[in-house]
Amino acid sequence: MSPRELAWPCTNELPGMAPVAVILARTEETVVAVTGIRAYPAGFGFTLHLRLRNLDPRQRREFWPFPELGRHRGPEWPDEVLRLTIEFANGRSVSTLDAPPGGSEAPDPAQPMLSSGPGTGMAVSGSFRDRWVWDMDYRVRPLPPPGPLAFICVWPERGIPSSRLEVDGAAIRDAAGAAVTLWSDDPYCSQDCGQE
Amino acid sequence: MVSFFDQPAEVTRFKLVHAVWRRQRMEVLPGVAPVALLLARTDDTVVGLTDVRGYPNGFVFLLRLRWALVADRYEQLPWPFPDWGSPDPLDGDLFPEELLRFGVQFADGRRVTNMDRYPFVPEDLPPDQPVLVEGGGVGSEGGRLGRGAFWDLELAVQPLPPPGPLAFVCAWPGRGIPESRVEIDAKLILDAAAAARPFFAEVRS
Repeated sequence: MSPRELAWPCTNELPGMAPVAVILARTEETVVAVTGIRAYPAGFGFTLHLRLRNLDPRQRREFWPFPELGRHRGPEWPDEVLRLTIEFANGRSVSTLDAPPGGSEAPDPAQPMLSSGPGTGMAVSGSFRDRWVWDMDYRVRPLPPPGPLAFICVWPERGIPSSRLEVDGAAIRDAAGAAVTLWSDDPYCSQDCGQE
Repeated sequence: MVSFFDQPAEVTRFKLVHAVWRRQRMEVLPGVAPVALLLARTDDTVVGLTDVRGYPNGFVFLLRLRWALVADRYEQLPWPFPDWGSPDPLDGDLFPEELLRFGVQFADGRRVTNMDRYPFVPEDLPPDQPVLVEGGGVGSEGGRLGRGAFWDLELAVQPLPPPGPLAFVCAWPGRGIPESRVEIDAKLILDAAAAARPFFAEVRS
């Protein structure tokens, strides 16, 4: 399965919440922030908030920083692309720039996988000083091990060098323990739902 | 003098309420409250509530509705709320049993429900009277859930509640859910709101 095609989280689960609201990077004209975290037996979800201001109207019209959902193609990524990496305490990591696993091999279940969407946003001009606003949901599988869970972003065009922020992986695991499985016999839910 | 283009006052208020949330969403990083609630559950229906986010002027949350079974796989996904785009969505009819009743009650007794036709409210509504609106950031979505279906509805309440118990109340006669009430400490939301901060406030030239 591609990291960009995660079927998880299954809607057969109600998540536990590990409250997080942090600014990952900020400049005069750009903010990258993370809120959440929705914790499930099989992984977790968070919302990435992007706030840009004073964008040139032409730039705003064409702007699209999500490499996993956009028209861009690696390996030479344009500076416009936001690089987001999730790193577990055991050193394993996944990035929005990662290529989907090739072939028919089943992915390593311990290797973090990342999927994005849905997202909502808007470009605003006039009295709002030409802003570009986007909130994008991300999903990560599996749950992180205890220890620091790092969110790392780099955004060359927006003047953001490597910026790292850590949250407690154990707190996310604790919140996942409070998640509720609604119907245990739903044959349409896969193992990705976290059902036994 | 009445202008040719004057709008009814209740529509003006509707726009004002949504303008507050639109601006907050753009400008404020909310605080997140550690709240995940199961408001009601039957063999085939669940009403949950998560993703509570505090803002200076109110709070937002996701109401998570789950149907275990939808008999006809081609059946149109049932929409559980009255049409919020109209000041009179039921056109004078009684609130149908197929729709979810949902409301919030503050510790001082003030309350608001989705049966109140909010935010289409009188222009002179007291500012501390709670208002319930759809939207505010995360967005609502729905779809199939295996054999069933789901809706995640993002709702926003203005203003912030006072300290004390804050109640979330729902009833869904058409789905066999009697009036169900879950209370939390409003401090959880007030603390989240206190942690909210402008995205750009601390940047200096």
